[in-house]
Amino acid sequence: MARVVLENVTKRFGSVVAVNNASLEIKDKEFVVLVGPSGCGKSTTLRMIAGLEEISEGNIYIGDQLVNDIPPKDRDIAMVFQNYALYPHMDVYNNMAFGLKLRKVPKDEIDARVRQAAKMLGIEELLGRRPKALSGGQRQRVAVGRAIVREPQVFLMDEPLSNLDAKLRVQMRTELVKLHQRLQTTMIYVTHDQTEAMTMGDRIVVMKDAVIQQVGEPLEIYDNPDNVFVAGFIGSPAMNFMEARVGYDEGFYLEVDCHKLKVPPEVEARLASLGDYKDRKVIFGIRPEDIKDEPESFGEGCSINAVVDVTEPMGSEIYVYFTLGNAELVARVPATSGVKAGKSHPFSFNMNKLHVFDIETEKAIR
Amino acid sequence: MDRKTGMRLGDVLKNFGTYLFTALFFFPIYWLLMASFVGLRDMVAHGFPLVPPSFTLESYRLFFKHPDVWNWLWNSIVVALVSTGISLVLSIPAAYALARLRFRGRELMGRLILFTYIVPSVLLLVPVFLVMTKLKLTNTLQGLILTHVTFSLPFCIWMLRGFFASIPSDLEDAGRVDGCSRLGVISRIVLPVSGPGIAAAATFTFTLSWQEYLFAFTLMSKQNMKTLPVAIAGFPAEVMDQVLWANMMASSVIATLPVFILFLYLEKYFVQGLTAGAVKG
Ligand SMILES: Nc1ncnc2c1ncn2[C@@H]1O[C@H](COP(=O)(O)OP(=O)(O)O)[C@@H](O)[C@H]1O
Ligand SMILES: [Mg+2]
Repeated sequence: MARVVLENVTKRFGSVVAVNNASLEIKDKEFVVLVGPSGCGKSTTLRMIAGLEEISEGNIYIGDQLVNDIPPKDRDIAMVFQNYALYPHMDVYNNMAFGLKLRKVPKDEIDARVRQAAKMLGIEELLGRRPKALSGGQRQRVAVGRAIVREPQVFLMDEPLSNLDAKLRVQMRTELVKLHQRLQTTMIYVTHDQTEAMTMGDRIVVMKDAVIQQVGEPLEIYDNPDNVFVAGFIGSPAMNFMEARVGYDEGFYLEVDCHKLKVPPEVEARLASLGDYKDRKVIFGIRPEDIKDEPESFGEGCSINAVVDVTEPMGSEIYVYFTLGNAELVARVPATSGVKAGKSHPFSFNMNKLHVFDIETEKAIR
Repeated sequence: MDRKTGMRLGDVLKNFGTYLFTALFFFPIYWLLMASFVGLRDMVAHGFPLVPPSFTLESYRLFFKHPDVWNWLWNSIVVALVSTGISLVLSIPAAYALARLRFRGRELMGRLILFTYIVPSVLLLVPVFLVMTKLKLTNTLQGLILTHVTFSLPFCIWMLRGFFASIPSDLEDAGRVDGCSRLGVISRIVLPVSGPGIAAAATFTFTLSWQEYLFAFTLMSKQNMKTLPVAIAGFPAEVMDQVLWANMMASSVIATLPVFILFLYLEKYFVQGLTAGAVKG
């Protein structure tokens, strides 16, 4: 059990910068999720923590120890790989016992630990099988089992669920969270799936183009994204964005396609620097659940009329797609709503939940 | 005709093809085997019939009466086995380095390796002979082993490099995280998983060395230093009567046996997909 600290860590592969000046402090026993689109440097970050990639610049500490030059085997970490990486020439038991044997753990202790982990994961009856005789879900469990028998200081997991089918993925998600609660070990988990990040992490690290964009608790990030990328990446369906002009007429308003949407006084008070943007364009963001399919639900001056393009019934709710100016928007409305594709319909925006971003820097205006 | 019988017809044709080719390849071996059992008197009368009128071990007895026969066998076995061993010991680390380690010139070296085969080996005959003479290695097993290794090594390195490169690198990373050093990863993970590749490299080297004629003939001029292929081909010069042919057939059968046994033994390692189940997909 240990904290993990990254200090201005950079990784270059030739001219490619895979991780750019990343700083991060992961607390002891914390479950941290690195999330971001493919190629943003998540795996590279994890592999540097594991010692599988050399660090170009910066420092990494595990516990209080600087580990820059310590080989993976001496870092006391365990890793679960995306494709499981089970040893094909060993049965499940030996796959799990391998790391312990190399560390000269006494035989009966190895046996006890392997059997306990197998029991915890429900794979006791598979111990004698080779990996090729296992299903995807079983292999995944063995890979997790191989990590937990080691009782390491830190668990590293690189997209461990991305090769499972949807149902199993959801199931394993909860199991891994439970496992973490039980083991109380620092866990660093990589995924490209924002739902996994939101549901599993104590804290989320959002990455893009080799740079850490924002670090925070899931809801903190969801409610207060630092920039357009984070706002759009976290949440499904994604946040709606449109260009708007900031105007003032006894209070600020956002003008979108000739509609004037009033900024409520509470929000105005929160956004100290909004005044600097008077008569300038900004990016206006609003989450799909903050759009209602009726006029004036959130008071005066928050409604528009738009023609519905498509409706997607999801069961408990409907995703309604419509166009406002040149922006494509989506609203999540109750399944009982009467919206019809092709018809004009009133919508109202919950302006208390609005997000505004600088159009140049794409940073949140606060 | 429905689909099912159509498929069956396809199967029949495919099987027929398989049998035909097997028969074509095995016919000379069959004939050789039969001929080796023909008695001397029958041979004079019938030549080499496909089904001999009588079976006798006369030819084998004649062959083993030759005073140098055990020397030839010994030479062949030692040269082939040691060449194979040296080839593997050298090619495994070389191939691993070319497949996995990042260093300057790796790509170029990997490509140049097969270029060593561009020169026809006949052209190398005189230079190799001169070098071996200078080194006083003619008529020694070491000299022939050295020569054979130079021929097998590039191919072994090239083939094993491809094999190692195809092992998912996550497998090695898992080993390193689990507690292996780089060498530990090679011995505990890469080699056990590379059974088919190593078996193929070993078979290639052993067979190459076992049947090699040109250099063995040139380098080994002393009667007791010859290898089997050279000795067998040398019979005509030595014994000029009908015994000669019987002798050649029997000795050829004996010369084929070790390779045959080797293939039978290694066959199980050639089974596809030894890495199956290691990684998804
Ligand atoms: N071994 C490597 N050699 C060269 N470039 C690499 C290597 N590994 C990763 N990269 C590059 O680094 C960037 C980040 O990769 P990665 O960390 O695997 O992204 P992610 O896991 O977020 O999908 C990508 O542009 C990728 O092409
Ligand atoms: Mg990745």
